Amino acid sequence: MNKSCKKCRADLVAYYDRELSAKRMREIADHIAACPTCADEFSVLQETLSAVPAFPEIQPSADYDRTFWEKIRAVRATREQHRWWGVRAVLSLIRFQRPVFIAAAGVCVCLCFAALFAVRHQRQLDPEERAVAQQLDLFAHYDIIRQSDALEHFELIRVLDAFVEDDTK
Amino acid sequence: MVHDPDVQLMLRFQRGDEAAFRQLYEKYKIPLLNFIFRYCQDRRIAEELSQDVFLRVYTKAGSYRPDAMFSTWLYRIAINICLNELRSGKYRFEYELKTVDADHGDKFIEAPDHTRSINAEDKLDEEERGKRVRHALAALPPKHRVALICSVYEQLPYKEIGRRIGCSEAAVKSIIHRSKLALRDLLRKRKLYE
Repeated sequence: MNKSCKKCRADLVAYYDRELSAKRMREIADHIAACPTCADEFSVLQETLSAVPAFPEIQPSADYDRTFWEKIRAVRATREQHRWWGVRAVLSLIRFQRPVFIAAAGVCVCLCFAALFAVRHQRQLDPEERAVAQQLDLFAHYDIIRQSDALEHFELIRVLDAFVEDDTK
Repeated sequence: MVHDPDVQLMLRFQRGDEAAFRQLYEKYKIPLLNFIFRYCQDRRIAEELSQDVFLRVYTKAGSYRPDAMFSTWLYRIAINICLNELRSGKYRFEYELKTVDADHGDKFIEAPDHTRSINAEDKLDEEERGKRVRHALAALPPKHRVALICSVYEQLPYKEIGRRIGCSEAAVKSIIHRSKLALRDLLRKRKLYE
């Protein structure tokens, strides 16, 4: 197979589909007219591709619609079932596992009361305590800070002094 | 959003309008059935799979986004279902090459050819050739088969085929080109052995 045959065969499908430029279409037509091998190649391709559209067209069978809408009804029914699944699960738990359910509910109520009690009786910090809490790192090194002449912490040392005095009283 | 009346119907269905779904079903029922039939070449399976596609549309309506034409979305579902079913081996695709469907009594309608008048012998030849082409088509790789069906039967542009099968326009062009050559080679082989 020579070079021009190779090039021609690469473009045969596009030639059949008329997707090439006018110039290239003419070149291939000329080549096919002169080369019996490529002409044969093209005729097989033509025969194949012209037979492709001859495909039977079908209509849906008589019970196609009925079967389909039955399937849709089944989907709707399943959806409806799923929608109430959670509620039904809880109801069946209450019905068949009553002691377990009552115990679990009791534990939940107790836990709620305990949490409420803890929140109500939590001691609130006064502003000085809050200041100390915010500076816990410095408070850990209080002795060192007090002895040093760290004037930049003067205000804080005064607060800490007052707090320590209160504590010793 | 795409200006496609079918997209509007789908959005109406999304909001709970069942009549909109019924309209879409009636519009696409036959084209979709034929698309799948050309792919699997079995009427029973084609009917079942096309119904599965509409069921998927019905159940997944909530996740529908109007990014493209409705038909693109619908056929993407159809292609996925066809490819997955083939892969899962749930169905064994067989070629239904009868000219008369005994179960339903309706005849397959051959695509009309207005280019020439055909005598009985030519018609037989053509039927035989059509049969061979359909066998060869079934032997192509699934994606190639889908691309070829979209191009030849649906007459879709490469861009739209690309959207449906998830490829670039250039890739589709190459797939279709290779499919046509493969089809020719398959037919040539069959001719030699028969």
